[in-house]
Amino acid sequence: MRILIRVYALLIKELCQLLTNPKVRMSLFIPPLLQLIFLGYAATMDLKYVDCAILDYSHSPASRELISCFTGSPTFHVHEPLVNEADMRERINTRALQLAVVIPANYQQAEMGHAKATVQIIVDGRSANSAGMALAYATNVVNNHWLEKAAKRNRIRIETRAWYNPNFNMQFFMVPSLLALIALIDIMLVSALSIVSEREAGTFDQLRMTPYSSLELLIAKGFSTLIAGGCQLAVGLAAAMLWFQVPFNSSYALLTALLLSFLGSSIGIGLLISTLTENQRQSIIVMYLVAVPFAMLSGMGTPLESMPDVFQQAMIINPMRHGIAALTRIFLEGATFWELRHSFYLLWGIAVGSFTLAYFFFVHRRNDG
Amino acid sequence: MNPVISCNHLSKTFRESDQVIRAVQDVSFEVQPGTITGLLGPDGAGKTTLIRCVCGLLRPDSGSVSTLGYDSVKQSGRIQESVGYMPQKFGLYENMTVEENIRLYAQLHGIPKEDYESRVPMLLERNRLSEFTSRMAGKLSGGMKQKLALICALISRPQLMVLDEPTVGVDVLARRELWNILRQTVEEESMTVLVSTAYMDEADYCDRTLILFEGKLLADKTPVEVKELGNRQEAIGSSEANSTAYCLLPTASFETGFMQLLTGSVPEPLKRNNPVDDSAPEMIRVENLVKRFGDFTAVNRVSFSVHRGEIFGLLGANGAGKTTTFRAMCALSRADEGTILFDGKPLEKNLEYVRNNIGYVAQKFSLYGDITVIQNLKFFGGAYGLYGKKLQERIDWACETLNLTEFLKLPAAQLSMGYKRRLAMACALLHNPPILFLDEATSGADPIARREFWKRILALADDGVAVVITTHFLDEAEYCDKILIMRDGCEVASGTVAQVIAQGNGATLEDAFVNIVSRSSETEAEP
Repeated sequence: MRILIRVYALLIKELCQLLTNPKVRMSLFIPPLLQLIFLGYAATMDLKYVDCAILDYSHSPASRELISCFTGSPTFHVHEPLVNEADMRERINTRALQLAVVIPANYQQAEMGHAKATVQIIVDGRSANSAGMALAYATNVVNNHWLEKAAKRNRIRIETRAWYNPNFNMQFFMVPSLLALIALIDIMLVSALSIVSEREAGTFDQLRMTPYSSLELLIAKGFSTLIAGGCQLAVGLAAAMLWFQVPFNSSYALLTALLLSFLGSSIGIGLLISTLTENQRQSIIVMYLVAVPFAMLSGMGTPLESMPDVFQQAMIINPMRHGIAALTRIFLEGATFWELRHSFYLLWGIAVGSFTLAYFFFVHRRNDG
Repeated sequence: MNPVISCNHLSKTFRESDQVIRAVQDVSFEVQPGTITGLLGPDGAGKTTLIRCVCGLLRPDSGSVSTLGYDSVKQSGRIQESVGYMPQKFGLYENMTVEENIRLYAQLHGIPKEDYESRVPMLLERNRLSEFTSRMAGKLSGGMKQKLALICALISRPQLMVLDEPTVGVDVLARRELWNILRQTVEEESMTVLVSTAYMDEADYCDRTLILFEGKLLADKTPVEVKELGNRQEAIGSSEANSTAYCLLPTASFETGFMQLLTGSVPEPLKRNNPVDDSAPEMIRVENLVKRFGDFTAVNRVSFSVHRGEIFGLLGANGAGKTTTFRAMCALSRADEGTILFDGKPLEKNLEYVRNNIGYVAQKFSLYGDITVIQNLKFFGGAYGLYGKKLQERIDWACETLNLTEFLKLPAAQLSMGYKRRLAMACALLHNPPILFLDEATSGADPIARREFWKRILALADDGVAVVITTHFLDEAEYCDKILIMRDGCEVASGTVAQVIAQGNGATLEDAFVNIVSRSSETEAEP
């Protein structure tokens, strides 16, 4: 009974500090919401605009047909034709063009099956990411053109469908991921600061003089951050669904359970940082040291599958990775708990593991003073 | 001669959200060349604001200041060039050595090399820092840091030196040294000094004192004149009280003069109604306590005990080990050797019991400033397992005895210093602890607040609460039933106030303290 009263009192105090102060409250809700909305539009992997030009040695009806495929595409902005290779080199060098297509002189003959020819696509590899995508788009345009021509002869067509995300809308993947990212960084920071800030303000000794056990202190700290983080995520979710209209095909109970598990593991890591560091500055540095690789290697920006095996293994401690994987599946696929159980187990494992470690260090330091 | 500073009807008001703080109200005074003028007043009296106006760092709302003949608003740049200013937190670089700090300030002021070489050794010698030139500034004691700051400020040979509370948190010994250095410099270099302090007893070192209280100038007199004000009252006052064993009125001093100025009378001496009984049960017993930090022994075989209803004072210079002892007694850090019995039980094994039964007021404000007074009270009440009606009763009691009722909805950070201290006290007493720990709880408080504070402590002790305090105010130590003086981690004197005065061959406790502390340093230096 006494324990419940004590923990309740501490919880109320923590929540008062986090939620009644208008400045703290603002910083907990407004910037993340703005970030979500801005990044939801800005951080997209769709390439909307590619500057390109064509070097046509063929000058034939067939080559003009191919060129019209590029001019007709909404993605490619076709500049005035290239004169020769020197011209192409010059314009790519000055970044006037991102991509160039070279059509050989015997293109028409080749198309009719009388010769062999190679259509060359040249991209500016200096910005590797967008070059790769532009290249993929351009290859697609050329291939589609040929397939269509072939289809006219033999009546076989390719039809593509993206399941779970029919329009292949990147936002539907990015917005839930962003939500997880913002919550991870914010909540991890709040919990990473929770103990050191008291240490710095001198209130920690006062707290240590009270009958709280180390476990009660950590639980109250963690739980209050969980509540604050839950509120923050609820606002973010509302924005994702109402503003971005991300489709939601699952149960809210499962979503809540996932988000709480995700928050739990982020808070566990944050508390661990807080017990290991001396002051707020150290805490913030360590927090970013951990959060940046977590974010980069979460599968949000770069595909998980392309990471070296060692990293894939190491990232098992990354709550972001499991969080994003499960979150997008809940949103887009309507996955059930059973299908997501591994993500859940891992998140719980991270939460319990980091909390236990945090407790161990906390007790150790508390008695040592 | 023209005055160095002349201040005419100066006022400065700060507005913060819906609060209006009249920091300085209609203050006029002059400072004559070659003198030390003390600016005395408790925390929040407006000392820093006034000093910043004098240095041209703040623009007054009305009135004017002329410093060294320059107008503080129009010629603030000229003032800052020629005044040596030492703010409360002087910008020493903690990870640079003493010498590097001094050189840096010399270069910032463009001191020629010859000047530097002739002056610095003398200043180092005088401050007794010559041996420490290659030590990191961060590793100096509080008193040494202040002396280093003083050297850095004096290096440019300013005509006027302005110091903002240079002695705060510094022990009596180091304070005496600092004042002597200032006096020597004034005499040799015909410098003028304006210095602020919250310690009333430091008035004796000044030629003239300006007493500031709540933004108003209460008096502009010599220290002797102020003392006489107090004396006169005492003659009429309490000869009878003097004879009882528990008379707690400080002898005629600057402080009684201050009280006379402020309230028009010298208050009655404080009395214990229920003096401590030696047969009262022991609340805490410390035996052969040892605490080491690496190779350094911070506390070396200290033993004492505190009974119920006893006020126990732990005294010593900075770094003497009293805070370490204090922390070990509160179970904030673990002792390396020795035993501590809390209410007859070993401290280490009964942490929960100990924490449920002590009240603790830290040196600096260490409650939660970002939540309201009532939220703080509820939290600390809840922390001790109080709830519902019982909690409300205790909160009501605390608000009533400490006059907190009107501030309940205010964030604790917005309280004045005095009320913050009251709140800290309230939070420490909510659970009726049988023992109370006070770590320099009165530093920076004005005499009235300190008196009220002690009235409360005496009443608590009368009710049987054991009180353990540390303090830099030696006149406060006289309220203690027993005191223990520490030096370099060892006990060097203990007993009742009268016994310690006898041990130290002093007329007053302060003299005895200085004798004891410096004597033990000499005996230590011999082998």
